[in-house]
Amino acid sequence: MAYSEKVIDHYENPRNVGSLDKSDPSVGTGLAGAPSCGDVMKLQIKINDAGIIEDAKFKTFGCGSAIASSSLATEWLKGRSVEEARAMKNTAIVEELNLPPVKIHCSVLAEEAVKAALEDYDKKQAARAATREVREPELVGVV
Amino acid sequence: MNLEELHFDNGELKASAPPDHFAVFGLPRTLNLDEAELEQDFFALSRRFHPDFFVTKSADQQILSLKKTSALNNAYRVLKNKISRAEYLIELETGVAFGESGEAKQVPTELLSDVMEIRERIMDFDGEDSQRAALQRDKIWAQQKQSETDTEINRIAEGWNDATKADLISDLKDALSERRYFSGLIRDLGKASD
Repeated sequence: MAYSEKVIDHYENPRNVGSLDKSDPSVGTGLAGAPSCGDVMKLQIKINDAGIIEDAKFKTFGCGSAIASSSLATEWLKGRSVEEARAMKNTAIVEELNLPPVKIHCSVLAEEAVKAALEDYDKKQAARAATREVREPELVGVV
Repeated sequence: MNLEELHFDNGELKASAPPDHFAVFGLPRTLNLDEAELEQDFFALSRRFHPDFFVTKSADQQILSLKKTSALNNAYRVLKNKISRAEYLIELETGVAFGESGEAKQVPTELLSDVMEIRERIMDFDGEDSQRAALQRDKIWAQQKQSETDTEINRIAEGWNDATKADLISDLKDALSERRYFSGLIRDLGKASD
């Protein structure tokens, strides 16, 4: 099966490979695995107070299409709002990379990783809000 | 082409699907089969249909002997091993090759993060002894996990019959998916640290 030029480009020069600090509350970390091919993908996003994705990194151990899909996803995510990221669909990756039907699951993997990263970010934000609520009365008491 | 392989379908002459790998050996579709017996059958049938015995026969007979021999080789290759047999059985039962369905069946996140950590250690390995020791520990862990999934696959195989297979197929897929992670890790850990 022939890979498209864009897949080869992302595979040979992957964008945004690396890691962000997963304990940072402004960082969301998502993991996704391709059932039955042993691929694993980690995608991280760093979101600023304005709700804009400042940085995105990935590490993917899998086939060329999985690497290209996650590379493209991080490139696309940077500078977008959280809302735009939530609406991201794998079909956009399929079109951009011209993925053949047997490789569509690689783009699904990237979409799942983005969703998981957003969920992780949401969880961290909720936990932060919860501790704030608990602390505030104490602060009032101190003041 | 053998005439028996042709049939009418809506008034058109069509070639029927070739027999599945189990049928080549006259076996029912099952996970649990005696591999030693399968090997004996393979040798006996291969001898009986060997093209060498057909050199003086008609061209049709020679072609059929070649086809039968090739079907036997293909079937034996898939059926002799429990894992490839299980993957093939999933393809027969669901109509979709294992690994190509793209269905959003999730592997537990904990497993993914263990796999990710080990993959990162393999990538960061630059020959240092302490790193090598860590990779060797990872390999033992992966072997242990793989043997756990093998036990699970054996459990499924023992309960596998026409009545239970519909319920067991998703357990079997899960076990095979997890096993791919472990077998891939064992392979790459071996390459990196041995």
